Order: sequence, then C-alpha cells, then structure tokens
Amino acid sequence: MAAKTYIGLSVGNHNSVIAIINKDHRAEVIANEDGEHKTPTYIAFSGEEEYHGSQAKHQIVRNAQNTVAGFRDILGKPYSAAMAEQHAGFAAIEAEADGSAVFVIHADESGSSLRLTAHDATVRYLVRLRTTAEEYLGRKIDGAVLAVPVWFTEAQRASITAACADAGLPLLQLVTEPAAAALQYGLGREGSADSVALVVDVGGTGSDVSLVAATGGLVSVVGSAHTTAVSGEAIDDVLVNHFAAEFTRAHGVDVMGNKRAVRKLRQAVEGTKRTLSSATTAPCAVESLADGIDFNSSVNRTRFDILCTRTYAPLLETIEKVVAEAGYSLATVDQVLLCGGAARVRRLQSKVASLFPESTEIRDDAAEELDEVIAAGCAEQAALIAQGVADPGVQAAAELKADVLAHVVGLQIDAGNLAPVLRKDTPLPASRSVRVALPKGETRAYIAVSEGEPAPPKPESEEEDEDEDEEDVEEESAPLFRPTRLLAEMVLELDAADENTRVEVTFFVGTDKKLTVTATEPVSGKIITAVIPQ
Amino acid sequence: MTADAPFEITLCAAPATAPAAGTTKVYGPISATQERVLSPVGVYVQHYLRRLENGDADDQTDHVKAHADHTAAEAAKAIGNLDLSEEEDEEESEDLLMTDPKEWKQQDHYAVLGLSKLRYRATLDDVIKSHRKKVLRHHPDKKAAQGHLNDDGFFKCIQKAFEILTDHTKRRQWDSVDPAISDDIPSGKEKAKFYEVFGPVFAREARFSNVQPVPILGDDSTAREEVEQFYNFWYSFDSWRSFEYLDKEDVSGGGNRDDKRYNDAKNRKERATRKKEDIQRVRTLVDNALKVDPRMARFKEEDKLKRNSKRNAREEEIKRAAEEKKAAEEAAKKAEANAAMAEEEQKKARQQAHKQLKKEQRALKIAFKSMNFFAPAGATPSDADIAAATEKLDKITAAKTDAEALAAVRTELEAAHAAGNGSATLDNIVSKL
Repeated sequence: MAAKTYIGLSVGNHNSVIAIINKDHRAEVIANEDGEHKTPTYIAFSGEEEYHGSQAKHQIVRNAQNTVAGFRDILGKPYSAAMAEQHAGFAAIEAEADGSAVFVIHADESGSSLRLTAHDATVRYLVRLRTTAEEYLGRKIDGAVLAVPVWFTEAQRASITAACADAGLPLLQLVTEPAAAALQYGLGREGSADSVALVVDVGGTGSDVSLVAATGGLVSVVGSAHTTAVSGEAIDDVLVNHFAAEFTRAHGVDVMGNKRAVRKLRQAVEGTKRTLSSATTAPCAVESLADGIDFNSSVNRTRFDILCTRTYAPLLETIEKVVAEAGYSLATVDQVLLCGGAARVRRLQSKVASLFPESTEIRDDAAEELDEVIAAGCAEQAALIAQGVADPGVQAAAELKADVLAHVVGLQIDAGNLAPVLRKDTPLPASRSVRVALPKGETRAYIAVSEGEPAPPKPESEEEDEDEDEEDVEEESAPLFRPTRLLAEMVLELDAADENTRVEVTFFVGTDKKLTVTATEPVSGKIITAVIPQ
Repeated sequence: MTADAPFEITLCAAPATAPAAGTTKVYGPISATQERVLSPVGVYVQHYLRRLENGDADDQTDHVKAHADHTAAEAAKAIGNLDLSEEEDEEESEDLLMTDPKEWKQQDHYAVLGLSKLRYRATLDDVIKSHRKKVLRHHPDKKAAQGHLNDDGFFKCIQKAFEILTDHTKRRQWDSVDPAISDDIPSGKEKAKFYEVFGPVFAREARFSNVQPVPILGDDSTAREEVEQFYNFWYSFDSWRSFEYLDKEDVSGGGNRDDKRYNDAKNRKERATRKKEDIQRVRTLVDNALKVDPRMARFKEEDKLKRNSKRNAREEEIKRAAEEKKAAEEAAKKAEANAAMAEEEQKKARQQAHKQLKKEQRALKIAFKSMNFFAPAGATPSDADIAAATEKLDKITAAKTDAEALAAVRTELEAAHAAGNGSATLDNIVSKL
C-alpha cells in the first residue's frame, strides 16, 4: 500500500508545531530533535554555523543581531520602517532595491554580510521542519496542510505557498487557523452539532479572535479580529517589569536599561509563566542577570493575576467587538475554543468565560497543549485528504463561495421569544426539523415563522450576590433570539391532541432562496405548507 | 441542537389575529442572503459543493444526512448483501440460559443475542434488533410475572453482550478473540484444492483489515496483476486485531497501585506478544498460500519461458552461423581437391598424348626408314635424299602435334608408298601444311 504521507503544520511567529497522522488516522504532535513538541521559529547564524529552533532561540541573549525572528509575518510584505522598528533587537531588516525586506546578518568574522530574504529564511526553516518529520516517520513527506492567520493577504498566502514548494514540502491545502482549530475541536466532522464557536487564539505576538459558524458540518469564519495588545509577549512584559523592579530594589542595579539582561530575563519568565498555568507558585532564576549578580525569585499566581489584570482587557473588548459585528450576541455563542500557548493562562481563561453565560462551553480539550491545537487540526485535515474524504483541490475562495442566511429563522413561541430553527449563516440549501408540542388544551397548532436577531442581554441586576439562585433561573429562561419580522403564519387543525402529540415542522431553503415551511402531524398525517418567496 | 435529533419546543396559543384553521398567511419575503466563503475543512465540504454543482436545489434531504446515507450504503456494499430479514430465531440451549453473568468474559456474546451464525458480520442494526427481541423474552419483570423471582441471570448476560457489541472498541476487542472462529491456517500442502482451502481462510482473515475492501483470492482465471496485488496487500496487511479482551483482571481488587501497575505491564507485554504472534500467523498464511498457489507457479513458468525463449533464439543463431561457416569451408576444400585432381588428369592425359605423339613420331620415322626415305625403289637412298626426307619429316612432326594426325599421315604415306607414288604424296602433304 503506497499510502501518501501527509502532515499538518502550524508556523507561528514564535513557535511552530508539526503534527503527523498516526496509525489510527488521528493527528499526533511529534517532538523535534531536541525532544520538544514545539520548535521556536528562529534561525541564528554564528560563524559558519546555522542554528534553528531552540538552539537559535538560546542565541538571542548573546547573538541577537544575527538571529532571524518573526519572518513569517514579514513574508510577502514590502519593507516598511515600522517593520524594521518592530524587529529591533534581532537581525537588522533593510530594504532591497525592489522594496522587499531582507535580513542582514554579519555572522562571519571576515566582515562579509549575508542577506537573507524572508522567503529564504522561511524555506530554510521549513526544510528543517520537514527533515524533523521525515526523520521521525522514516518516510518522505508527500504533502502538508498548513495553517495561516485569517488576516493573511493573498500575497502572503502566495508567498508561503511558494516557500513550501521551495522547501520540498508540497502544500496540499492552506487553511485558516480558526478553521483548523474548529476541526480539531470536532466541528465539521461526522455527527457534529450545529454550533457557533468563538476561536480565541492567543499567540506569541498577537491574538486572533474569530467567530466560526459550523452548520451542517460546514465551517465558515464569519468574523475575525486581530489584536497585538494581548499576546504571550505582552504577558511576559508584565513579568519582566515585575522581576526587573524587584532586582533593582534588592541590588540597586538597573535591569531595564541593560538589553542583554532584559533578554535573559525574558527567556526565563517564559518558563515562569508556563509553570503558573499549572502550579500556584513558580520560580524565576537567572544566573548573572546584571553586574554578575544572580537573580532568584518566585511569584505566585494571585500576584501574577493582579499584575496582569489590565493586560487582558483588550482581548475581551476584541471578543465583544467581533461577536457584535458578526451580528451575534455573546449568549448565542455555543462554545469558545481556546488555542495558542498563551491561552493557557488561567486568569485569561476565566476572564473570557466571565463574558459568556454559563451555557457557553469554554473548551481547551482538543489537544494535549493549547499551542498544538492548530497543527493537530491541520493534520486531521491532512488525514481526511489522505482518506479521500476531503479534496485538496478545493481551496480557491471563488469555489467555496456559498449563499448563507442573513438572519436566524425560527418559530415564534412567545411575543419576544424566537426558537431558532435555521441559524444565521447557514449555507443554502439547508433543511432542519423541529418537533413541537401544543399548548395545553389546544387542538390547533399555531405556527408563526419569523426572522429574528439575538436578544439584547438583560441589564445586570444590582443584587447579584444576594440571591444567586434566582438569578440563575432567570438567566436560563432569558430568550436568546427575539423575532424581528413575521414571515408567515399557519394553523394546523388537529382532531384531537394531548400532551404527547407532536407536530413536526420542517424548514427548507433551497438554492432558489425560497423558504418552505411544512408542518405535519405524523399520527393523523395532517399537513400544511407555506412557501415564503425571496 | 444537532442536525438529526430535533429539539422540542412548545408552541404558544394562537392569538386572536391568527388565520383560520388549515390556512396560511404569508407576509413578507425572506431577507436577502449573504455570500460567505466556506473554510475548506471537514468531511462535508466536498459533498456540499458537489450538491451545489449538481443543482439539487429542491432536494430537501440535508447534505449531512445524505453523506451519512452514502457512507452507510458504501459500508453495506463492502460487507456484502446478507439476507437477514426472515431468519429463524436461534434455539436457546439449556446451557446458554444457565450462563453465569459473573463469568461474562467466558460467554459467547453472539450466541447470547442469538447471532451466532452471523457473528462479526452482524450489523449494529442486527444487534439492536435481536437485543430487543431477547429483552422482551427474558426481562426480569416478565420472569417475575411467571413466578420466577430473582431470575435475572440471563438478562444480565444479554445486557453485557449488548454493551460489548454496541461499543465499537469493545466489539473489536471481542471480535479479535472470538473463540468460535478458528485461527488455524492451512499448512501449505494443499496443492490440489488450493482455492477451496485458502479462499475461505483469506475471507475470514479479511475481517481484521483496517483497509476495506480487501482483495479476494480469486480463481484460476484471475488476472496476473490482481493476483500480485492480492499478495502485496496481504504482505502489508494492516490489522486492527488486538488482544485486550484476554487481559487478566486485577483479582485482588484492592486497588493497590503497585499491583495495578505490575498487572498492567504484564498485560501489555502479553498483548504485544499475542499481536506479534498474530502478525506472524498471517504472514505464514500468506507464505503458505504463495508457496502452493498454482497461478504463481504458472506465472513463474511463463516468466521462465519468456526469458529462455530469448536465450534459445540467440544460441540457435550462433549455432547456425557456425554450421554455415563449416559448410562453406568444406565446400571450398572439396573444390580445391577437385581442381587438383582435374589438373592431375589433364597432366596425365597430356603426358599420354605426348607419349603417343612421340610414339607416332618414332613410328613415322621408322616408316620413313622402311619406305627407304622415298628414294626410288631398290636404290639406296643417298644422303641428300635422307636429309630431304628427314627435313620433310621434321616439318610434318613440327606441324602435326597430334598423335592421330601423325598416324593418319603415316597410313596415307604407307598406302601411297605401296602404290608407288609415296614421294609425291609426301610433297603434297608437306605443301599442305
């Protein structure tokens, strides 16, 4: 059996993860040569040598000017001063004659410099990832599914595709990061329920918030926003400042002015931050931080949470903005899917959770580590391609255009309450059925079909703390959607009805955009149909 | 809210403004749709796009359901059409009914549910159906009504069997060690009945394959590629068979961590050994089959013939060339010998002729002498006469190199001499020369 070997890759600005398809046809994240599940996205040059991954990352302290970092985001973009400023501290970026950006490295003692374009850097790095996977599997890699952020432009997508091709890693499909995450969380698979999910990806240099609608197993990103205010680095900054101040207090030596000391401290606090997600106290130790003085301290989680309180606010604002702009309410989001390494921070998770009602599920269970979710999702997609369930040819945006419902359509069950049947953003054609019971003592089923919108959240009551139970009950019964426009009314007359009588109502919207509502009572076979034109 | 399990809601009472019973009122058109780009992930995208392409706008079935139906149909096709509809219920033996539910690991789950004929071929539907039947018959409430209180042993067995056969993982574990299905493999000496012996064995082993459908053994007329594909498949056989079912349970039950770990390690080892043995078993099976497969022997023979035919042609060519060369050489030799012989004969003839000539010349000379050198009769020829006659003789001998001609001249002269006009005839002859 000459089965093709495919892998899933996620190349982040800070870390990259490789996932393979294991014997059970499921995704499995593999360790690199250094035994780590994630490979830092850095390349360092020292003399004749070229270093990748954590070896390169360790060089940041003493060889930062020859360390190439953050090349993924530079790929496919023209040179700009802001870009150079953002990468200050690492290998210098200069403009080429054609306006593209190039890293300048002076690793050689001879004084000659190496000019490395973002494309070259990415190719070199991808080759390394490919070798890692090939060595692990002992087979040649026939293709990869790669995830890119939603905000990648066509030029950036084309550049990364070209880089993959040059690295001998044929790209099967380029998927967006939230889509890969959604797949890994089980959306778009057999038996997955319709749901609206918010993918919160907190990465090294920025956060992406994407609202994903998965109806009938079809995943589409309905809204997305990127913020650099909340990121792993931003959280590190808080800790760096904290420890630097502590060091200065203890020894009277300035740390923040000492670039090398800051870099050392930054590498150390990354570990501290990670430990705080699982333990309540985490140490931070740096040998010879400044002026030859060792630094040894620790921080507990409460302290860390207090320090970071303000840091998370922009993320919460972004979430609210994305949900509102997409035409949803926080209460109608069924689940929040966390991914990205920095999303492990407990306080961040609870802050996000506090935005949503309790019915919304906050999930972090798709992979062993949150920074592996996207790569694993890519590998899952690669597995589907390998099994012939998914077609890698389908990836051009034009082919994937679908008409979707602009508003939720459902049954009006109260003056201000709409039971959703077909959700907003459901691709057409679509059909859904609901079984409805009749009100007590009625033999007529009154079916009011209506379009709706998310109900505005109830203003929070003041005495929240005093009677929590009551509050809970109230919250659960609050309608999620309210009707905005009545589309049709129909009445199905039954001969007899009791509490066991059910009427099945089917909503169907074809590609001709006509809504057909059919109500039947299976026992007597009575039927009534209404067709609502476009 | 899932696609196939509709949720339930209660409608509100009809308001006063509601339309009359059995009628509909349509108010407004539905809002214009929006366009969105789907993410190309998941199992349904391809199906959805195909549907759009086909333009099944009025096909009310949901694509999720369509996909599920499609998958189920494929699976059904793979398993093969089994006629399950009107099968007689299996007999329940006394022993079966007395099965101890505590010893559930030893019970035959298929037999308990009355599926001992179908076994691994039983679909989930079959299991559910037969379970329902069995429950109706053996439910403890029913037993109690018949006066057998606390007789729920067999019911527990049924529930256990149902639990195992409806759980995908557990069922595979059970199917892996199903004692009713033999693990024996033919020894590899069954040349005569190859297809009858090996066919069913391969069909039986195919149930463990992760890759379906599994190629079948075929028969004598199976094409060569198919046969080769068959053996390739079986040499890289990917089996889901596992041996967790045979794990030894922690008998102490105390939950001592060390004991548990020890047991786990032992079980793992055991499983690995069994798996290894099973892989070896399948391997041996394929080896044995390959060894006696008459088709493989035939292919080998054909290959050999093909290879040899080329070589034979070449050898023939060489042989023929050598023979031709030899023949040519012999012919040349023969021709040479012939030529030599002919020359010899000629030489002999020439010598003969020469001898004859000399003889004739001598005879002519003697005749001249006897004819008195053509001097007048009775007279002694003078020297001048002799010289003249000798000169004439020399002239004749020089002119007539042929023995016969000389003989003719001699007879003519002798005749003329007898007639008395020898001298004139001689002159006549000489002048004619």
